Amino acid sequence: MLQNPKTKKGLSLIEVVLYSAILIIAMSLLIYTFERISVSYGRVKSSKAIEESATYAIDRMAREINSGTSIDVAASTLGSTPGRLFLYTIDENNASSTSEFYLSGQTLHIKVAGVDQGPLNVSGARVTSLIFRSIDTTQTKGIKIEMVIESATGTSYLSKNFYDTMVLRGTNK
Amino acid sequence: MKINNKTGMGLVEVVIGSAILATGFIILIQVYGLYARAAVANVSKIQAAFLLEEGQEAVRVMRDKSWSSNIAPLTAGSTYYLYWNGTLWTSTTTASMIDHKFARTAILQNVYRDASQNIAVSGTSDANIKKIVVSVGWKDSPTAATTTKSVSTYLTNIFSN
Repeated sequence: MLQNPKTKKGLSLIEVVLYSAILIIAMSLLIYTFERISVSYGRVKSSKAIEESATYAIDRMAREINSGTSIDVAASTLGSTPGRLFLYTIDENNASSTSEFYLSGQTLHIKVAGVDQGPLNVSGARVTSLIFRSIDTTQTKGIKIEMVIESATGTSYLSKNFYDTMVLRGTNK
Repeated sequence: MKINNKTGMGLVEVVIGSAILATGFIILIQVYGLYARAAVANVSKIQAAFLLEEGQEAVRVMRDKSWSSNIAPLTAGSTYYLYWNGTLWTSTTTASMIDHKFARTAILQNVYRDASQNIAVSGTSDANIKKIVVSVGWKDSPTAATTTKSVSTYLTNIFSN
């Protein structure tokens, strides 16, 4: 019995080859895209952790130094890492207080009036270097901060340096 | 009567469909790429913001040490760089880069007062007050355009030193 060409079903070999080729190209593109997105997502996540940590930590340190009246040099580690800074400050109620910044492992902590207030950097970021340098102009005292924060997500790794200087307004004579 | 019992898709349909999908993907990747670049570049902006704050405080340190030695002799309108000498901030005309990326400059401008002693565009120059403009410029990649941010403040000779 002869086959009726009108009722032929399925695909010819050339069609199968072409469709497969298109599918393979599309899948390769898709896998490549996901791989690239995953790498750049790691970078975005790391930079976000560094940003949040730097903004929060340096802003807090600058504010405490700004309201400082003097530096306890004996209780501080100045000029080397891991640095420690012990300040006598004036709080929002105009009362005398103290602020202390120090590294516990690679986490920056703050103590206010001797009580630990918790970490200043987010858990995804580590403070690998923290140096406080003392400034004495006779009229005023100041602190220069040098901080290195790093973060790693998957295969991505970022390390950024941050610098700030703040004059202790309470030391104005 | 011709009965069309053909099922499935033709090659042209598959090619067009794939092209639409691919175009969609490429646009999506481009948009994500823009977002990722902006997010990573934001770290530089935060670094620059602290460098700007430090620049202002550095000039304040120079003022606190001695207005007559550190601020008064500087030429108004000239570009200076801030240099940490190990114990204090000083100014220099030698260009330097911070971490091989950020260029920070400080420009002092004269401040004028009108007949009512208010700060004005012109009038009598007040030798005991200067406007300080600190700028930080950087490139996020060697081929990128330079981004520059500036902050300004007034500093007075409050210690008469």
